[in-house]
This record gives sequence, structure tokens and C-alpha cells, in this order.
Amino acid sequence: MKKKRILVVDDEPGFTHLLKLVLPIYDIREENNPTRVIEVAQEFKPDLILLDIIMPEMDGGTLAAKIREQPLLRFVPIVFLTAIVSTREAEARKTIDGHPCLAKPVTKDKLVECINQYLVD
Amino acid sequence: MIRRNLIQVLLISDAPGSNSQFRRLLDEDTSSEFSIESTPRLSDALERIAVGAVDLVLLDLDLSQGTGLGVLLQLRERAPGIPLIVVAGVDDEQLAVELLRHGAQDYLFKGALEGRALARAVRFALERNRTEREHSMTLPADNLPDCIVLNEDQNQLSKLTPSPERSLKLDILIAPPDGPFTEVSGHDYATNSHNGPPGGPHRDPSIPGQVIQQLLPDGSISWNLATKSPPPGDGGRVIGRFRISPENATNHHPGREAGEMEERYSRLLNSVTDYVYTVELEDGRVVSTQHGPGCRAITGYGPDEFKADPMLWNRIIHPEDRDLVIAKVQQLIRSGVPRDIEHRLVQKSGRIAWVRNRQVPRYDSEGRLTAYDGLISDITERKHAEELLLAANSHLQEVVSDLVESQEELKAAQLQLIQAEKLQSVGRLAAGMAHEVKNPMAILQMGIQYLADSPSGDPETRQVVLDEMRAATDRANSVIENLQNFSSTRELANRAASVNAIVEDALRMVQVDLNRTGIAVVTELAADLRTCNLEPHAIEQVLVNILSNACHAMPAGGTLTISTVNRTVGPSDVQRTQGDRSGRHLRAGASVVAIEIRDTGTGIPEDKLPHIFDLFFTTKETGKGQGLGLAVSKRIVDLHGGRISLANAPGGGSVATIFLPSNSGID
Repeated sequence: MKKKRILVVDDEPGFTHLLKLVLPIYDIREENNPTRVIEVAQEFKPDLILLDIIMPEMDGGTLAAKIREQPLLRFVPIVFLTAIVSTREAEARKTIDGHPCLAKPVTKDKLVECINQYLVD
Repeated sequence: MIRRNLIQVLLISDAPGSNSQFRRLLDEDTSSEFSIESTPRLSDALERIAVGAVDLVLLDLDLSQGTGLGVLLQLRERAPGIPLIVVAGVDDEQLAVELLRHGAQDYLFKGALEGRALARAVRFALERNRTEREHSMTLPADNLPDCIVLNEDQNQLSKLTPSPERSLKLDILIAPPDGPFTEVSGHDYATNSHNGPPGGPHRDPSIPGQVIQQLLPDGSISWNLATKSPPPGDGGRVIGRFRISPENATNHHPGREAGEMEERYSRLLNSVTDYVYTVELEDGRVVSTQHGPGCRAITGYGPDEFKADPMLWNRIIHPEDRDLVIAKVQQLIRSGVPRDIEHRLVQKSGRIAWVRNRQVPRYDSEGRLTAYDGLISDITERKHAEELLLAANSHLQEVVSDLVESQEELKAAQLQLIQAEKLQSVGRLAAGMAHEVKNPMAILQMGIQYLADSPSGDPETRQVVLDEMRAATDRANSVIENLQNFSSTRELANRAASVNAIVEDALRMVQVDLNRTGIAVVTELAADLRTCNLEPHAIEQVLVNILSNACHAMPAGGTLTISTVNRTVGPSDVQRTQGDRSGRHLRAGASVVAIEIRDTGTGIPEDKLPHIFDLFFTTKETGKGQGLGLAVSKRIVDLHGGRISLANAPGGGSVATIFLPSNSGID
């Protein structure tokens, strides 16, 4: 079975690198520059996008809206992975702009559980 | 009555030769003429008094017929008006006081009698007696409101009551103690006018119980109150006069036509609303009421109606006020103190009128309350005005309390705002903290996960992961450290130091960054720079922060210019600019060292300028800026009593300016 493609967008390369190391079960593409996300996503065709929120140049909320504007990316699940929500808020299934949230720091199990929940077969 | 020439003295004594003894004594006095007759019997004495043949009684207390005191008491009861002097063979002061209390005018010790002293005692006794009576007579005149100048007969007393003009509007009551009240209205004044030639009031023909008007040579009008004097015998006596002067005497000189005067009075009378009533009492019970003609205007009922129905007056008092009025009347009867009552009347038409009711008690010569007089004034308009005022006042009070309430609401709202503002800052702080600390922790979390998942993984990868984790730990720690430094209120270890030297140290600290990005550095450090009192390490931290920012703003290289110069703070420097929230400590005219750091970088977006000194505000990517550098820098400069500002330079790039208070010494 082909690995699910996950696009991880975070301005911190250290974090995206570690995420890729920890989640070999997915085909992970790191992107540290939010302004390049649309272009990369159209080429990569992710099954899910993990999105940081606080980033220079463009915040995650704006980026999510831009992704939704793309016909090809309209139905790609987006999950926010951010330090600005608390673990409790995330567990209470808080959403931002209709997208589910995960709180940093996050455990691998929670991350995998969440990703699998929103992955569309 | 006093006739200057003759005082009729009656001696009650049974001592032989007493008559001639007293005659001799009185004859020693030449200023008065005395007639003296004597009797040992009380009945004879009362008879003589009744026919008016006695002006004064001399009572010998040592009567053998009975106790002298008994005669005294009977005399007082049966001939209360007659002046009386007691003569006694004992010089007993206590007895004298007792006798005076029982109505004697004087007490004389026989053993020390001397002619002129006796005559004087007689004259004084007569005078005292007369004054006491007149006092009771003039009491009703006190009811008259307002500013009448009343000269009593022989100019012995002057009384001032308030407002002559108003007195003219009133019905005047004259109350001789021995006769019924006679009402003299303004019309009577008119009919009685000019009935005597100008001159002293004493020689005028007096009309008992009447008022006589006189025009005096100066144009003023004199009113004479004439009445019968007790005891009867001499006919009318002028008991006093009051005088009303015209506002402008020249307008009222003699020769003015009577018609003009009458017109003046009728005009005054037409505006009369006040009137006087009398309530006669017997044993404290109302037997009759008499109301002056003015009563019709105020009550709607005429004097005849009041006369026919003694209880009418009581009935027209407004039911809600009746108890108050009755209570006040009873109080008056008990205490004798006149007081004003304001109450409502139900007029004949059913309309309600407010009146002021001023009541004065009247006593007979025995001190018994026989009547009280009341002056009624219509105060309906005043009351309405008062009510309006009260309403206006309570409205005002409502407005005031509303204002107070709104002010309190405002205060509460302001407090809420402050609270909200605080929460907002706490929220910002928490969000900043979260971002700066949780991101390194996310790296640590992933690192741990990786190490746990692959205990025997590729050593090179393991090393990279461990390095990432170490860096993340340092970052998280530095955030907390910086925050601690920021919030600490530690005393600065200030000393006089050279800013130029600190600038050079700071430049060395960022030398690596400068070299890597190929930034050219230009320094323009003033050679005569004054020293500043500062903590070099703290100022170096500030400069490093700003220099690092400048490096970040010029990723593709550029020019960094640092200058230092002595300056005097000008008024425009004190004005706050956007992005500048310091400057609180500096005043215009202060001597400072100015440090300017200019870059040729990207500048600061205008919308970000107001926030650049905010804690955790950053435009840099995560890990590169914590949003602490400028906040901490500003804090340090503030602690030095200086000022820091950041602006975009006109030609591009940004310029940071730091003022530090300088010493007089040169570096």
C-alpha cells in the first residue's frame, strides 16, 4: 500500500526534520516557507496538510484559506499544529476556521491518531 | 389718670393722724399737686375708686381691722387697675417681694419716709401701672405686620415693626382693655382724614377706639391711635401714633388734594389680601370669632358669616391641616409664644388656598388669656412657587443622582476596560510565551520520540537530533531568562562610563554576523563625548539587540552607521513618535548622549511600528526572534532615565536613536 502523503508546513526546519524522522509511516514533505506552499502542494498532491499558524510572511490561517481557493487542493484535509492553542483546547476538538487543531508539543501517537482520522481513503 | 396738676391719692389706714402725716410728706414735693383723702375701710375705698376719684391707693399694711395683706388681695381682685403702694412699719424685704408679687406697685418703709421720695414713688407707681396697661393694649398692634414706627404717648417708647406700606393695607384692630374691638378699615382712615389741624397729637380731639390721620407739614402722614383709657373718666386719650413717611416727601407736600391721597389708599386697599381675625375665649373655649372684611377675599366668606357660626373658621381649615392648626393653637394658649402656621383653607368656592396664620395671644390685666388675634395672609402663590421650586429641586436632585450614577457606571466600565486591557496583555504574554517555549518543546518531544523509536538508529542522525534538542532546550531557557531579566526590578550597577567604548564592544559582539552578510560598518563617534552614568553590560545588551536587528534587516548586505554625539534634548525630541513609548524621564533641555544606529535594510512595516517595543512582538520566524529584544532594550533604557525610538529612515532602512542622560565630564 502506498504511503499517505503529508505536507508539513512549519517555519522551523528543526521541527519538520524531526517530524519526518519520527513518522516514516507517511510520505512526508517538509516546507519551511509558507509562501511556497501552494506551488509545492500542487506538485506534491498531499493527502493531508499539517499547518503551523505563527509564521513570518504568512500566518497559517491565511495560508489555509489560500489552499482552499485552489481547485485541486479544495478537499485536502488541513490540520493545524500550533503552539498557540493549549492541549486542553485541542482535546476539546477546537477548530480554527473550521480546521481541527493539534497543540505543540504533541506526541507521536496523538499526531498519528489525528492524521489517520482525517485522512480520506 | 395723670393730670399734671393733680394726683388723687387715697390712703387706707386706721392709724390716727396718718392722713395729715402723708399730706405733709407729699406737700414737700412741688413738681406735682396731690389731693389726699383717707379711709380705714375697704368698702369706702372701692366706692371712691369706682367713681374715678382715685388715681393711686396708699395702703397701710398695719391695719387693725384685718391683715393688710387681706385688703391688698381684695383690692387687687375688685379694682385690678388701680395703682397701689404699700406702706409698712416693718422693713422686711421678703414681705416686700411677696406684696409686689400680689400686685403692689411699691413697698415703702414708714420709718424711712421722706416727702420727695414718697411723691416720686407715687409718680413712678402711676407710670408703671400705665405702662403695663398700655403694653397689653399695644399688643394687638404687634400683630400688624411690618415696619410701623409707633411713638407711644409722651414719646416714652418707640416700637419698630416691619414695612409701613404693608401696614396700610391692613385692617387695624385697636383693643382697649375695657371695650370691644373696633375695626378700623382703610375706608375709615379716609373718612377720618384731615379732621384735626396739624400739630402735636396730644392736643388733637381723640376719637376713642379710632384712628386719626394727619398730614404733617413735611408731607408725611401721621396716624394716631386713639382709645379710651382705663379707668374711664377722662374720655379719649391718644395712646400712641405711628407715622408713615412718603417715599418722596416732595410729592406729598401739604396742599395735595385729598382725593389724590384717597386714591392712593384705595389703590393700596384694593391689593389687600391680608386680614385680621380675633378668637375670643372663655376658660380656654372659643366663644366667638370675628373676622375682618378682608376675609372675603381669602376665604370667600364674609365677616357676618363667621360671626353667625363660631365653628365656621374651624371647618374651613383643610381637613389634613386641621390637627396641626389645633395643636398649634393649643400650644399658643399654653405658652403664649406667637408663631406662624402655614396651612390650607377650603374657600367657599371649594378652591384650596394656602395661608400664613400668625397668632398672638391677648391677656386681660389679670393675666388671663381672653382671646387671640390672628393675621391671615394669602400665600397660595408663594406656596405654588415653592412647590414648583421643590419639584424643580427634586428634578435637579434626580439629575444629579443620575449623573453620579452614570459617573459610577463610567468608572466601573473604565475599571472593566483596564481589567480587560490587563487580561489582554496577559493573553498576549501567554500567547508569546506559548509560541516561544512550546515550539522548542515540540522539537524536544519529537526528539525524544525519535530516540525512543530507534534506540540503535543511524549515529549521524542521532547526533543531529540531539543537537536539535540541545538548541531547543537553550531557546526555551533563554526565553525564560530574558523574561526574568525583563521583569526584574534590580538596581542598576551604574557608573560613569564611556558610551563610545560600549559601542565598540557591541560591534565586536556582532562582528561574525556582520562579516557573514557583508555589511559595511561606519562609525562616527564624537571625540568629546560626555560620560554617562550607566551599567555598561546592560547598555551593551541594548546595542547588540539593535545591531542584530539591523543585521537581520540586511540579509543581502548593506551599510550600518553608528554615531554618538552630545546633545541637548529639544522640545520635538520629547514629543512622542509612533513606536516610541518611552521618553517619560527626559525633559527638554536635558543633556544627553545620543546614539544613532542606521541601517540600509528592509525597514519596519508602518503597521508594525506601534508594536515593536511590545513584549513577544516579532516579525521574525520562529526561533530567530523571540519578540523580547526591543522590549528588553526599552526597559533597560527606561531604567537609565533615557529614551529609545525606532523609525524608518527617509531614504530607506531604519534608524534607532537612544538618548542617555550624560554627565558634565568628558570621556
